[in-house]
Amino acid sequence: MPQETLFQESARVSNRANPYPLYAELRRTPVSRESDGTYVVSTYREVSSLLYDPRISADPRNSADPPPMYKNPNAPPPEPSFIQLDEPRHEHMRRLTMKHFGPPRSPGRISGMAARIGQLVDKLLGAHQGRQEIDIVQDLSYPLPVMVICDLLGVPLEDEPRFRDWSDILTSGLDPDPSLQNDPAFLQRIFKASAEIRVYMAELLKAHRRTPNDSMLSAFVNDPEARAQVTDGEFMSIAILLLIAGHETTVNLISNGVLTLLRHPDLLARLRREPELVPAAIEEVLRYEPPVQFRNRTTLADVSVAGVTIPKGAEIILLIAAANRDPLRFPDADRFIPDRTDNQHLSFGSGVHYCFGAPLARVEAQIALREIIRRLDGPVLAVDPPPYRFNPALRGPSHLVVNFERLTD
Amino acid sequence: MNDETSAARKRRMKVVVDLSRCEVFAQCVFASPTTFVLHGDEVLEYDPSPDEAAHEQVILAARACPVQAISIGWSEEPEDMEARVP
Repeated sequence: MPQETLFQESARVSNRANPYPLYAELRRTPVSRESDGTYVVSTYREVSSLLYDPRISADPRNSADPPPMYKNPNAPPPEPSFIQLDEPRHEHMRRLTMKHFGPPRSPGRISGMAARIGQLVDKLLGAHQGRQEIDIVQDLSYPLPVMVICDLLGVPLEDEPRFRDWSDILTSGLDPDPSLQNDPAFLQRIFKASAEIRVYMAELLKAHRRTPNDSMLSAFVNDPEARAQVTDGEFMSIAILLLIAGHETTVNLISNGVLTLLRHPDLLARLRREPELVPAAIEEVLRYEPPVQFRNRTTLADVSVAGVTIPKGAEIILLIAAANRDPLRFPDADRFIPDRTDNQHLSFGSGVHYCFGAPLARVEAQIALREIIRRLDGPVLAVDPPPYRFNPALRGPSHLVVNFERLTD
Repeated sequence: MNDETSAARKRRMKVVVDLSRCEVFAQCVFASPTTFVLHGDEVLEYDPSPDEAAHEQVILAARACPVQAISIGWSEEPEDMEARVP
């Protein structure tokens, strides 16, 4: 068995609760070649510059070792969504999707959801009236983004148990663990989940064409401009991307936010007195405990970074979570400072692939955190560190049990 | 009590976007669509002195800017200042 690399060690389950000391070790070599030929980039300046570099591809078809979906001998890989495309197709697909999500064509859609999100948070927290315990993940930070994304996209919430499993299995494909990636049973599960979610999404998109409503998917699949340029396979891939991203990321942001604040009771008390600081605190949670720890890319040419020439066709891991704690970029980088002013974190990426859903994640996290802070009297962590979700790329607790004295109105 | 004085004075918000930093991620437009407007995919237009009703959203917009191009300043000025500006 080949020796475990430093990055693989940081991604191991036993280090999930605190991978940061290993990230600090990785940063000592800004661009390090792992024994398996992967290049790990872990410092702020280098990660940031590569996010802008057109010689760096997000398209798995350029990779010598593509993700599981591309290894199915019995089915062609699904059409890539824009997260897996390079220019010019990326920009084109993203713009057609954005038409129904944000500016310039739908500027108020996300801010217009704030009231609805507030009601959902109120309902989820209100269910704990008279109790003294809440599992923040299962009772709030998982269900909230799921309800919101279903609402926005026009996906029936009652189908949630089905796509919860698919989403879990498909995102496990982001796990770099070679023993998983080479396990035929693991690959079979991914192929099966991919086939099933595509059948589900094909039916749903057909239903939106037959009976349009005011949801985003309805608007998108019935838009004549999109229909002329987007294939049915691409519509499916984009819809699946949005559904899964809405499932797997904001949950970590809210959970990591609550966890971090409960570990800093003085700061929690301050935010309770000064709720106007919550949006800044969310940005600091993003920097300090990023929901997405790293992203994979491939070089389209030889690329020199920090004195290292990464050869064409190499796999790169952009270790966002390490870059966010680079002391050359952020003073007191390992300290959680909720009113940090210079906070240009990379947690939503940067450049052309900047997170499509960032504005929605921000609104959800701002409202959820504000209400949790305001309404829970005397909250304390029942277990620290909490158990974590299995996935090292999408890192966050699987349960976060909090005891409290009472729920205020 | 000087209620009259404070009623005659109003806290004004001044917004400046450093357009040499702006990369049109458009996060400000999402957060505060009445103050920030995108024309086409590239051109950002904004209201440099938004009404009080928009202040909270504008602060969120400044916080959300990925390249921190938005600055907010405050001034306390007599309410009729605009009337005196030639």
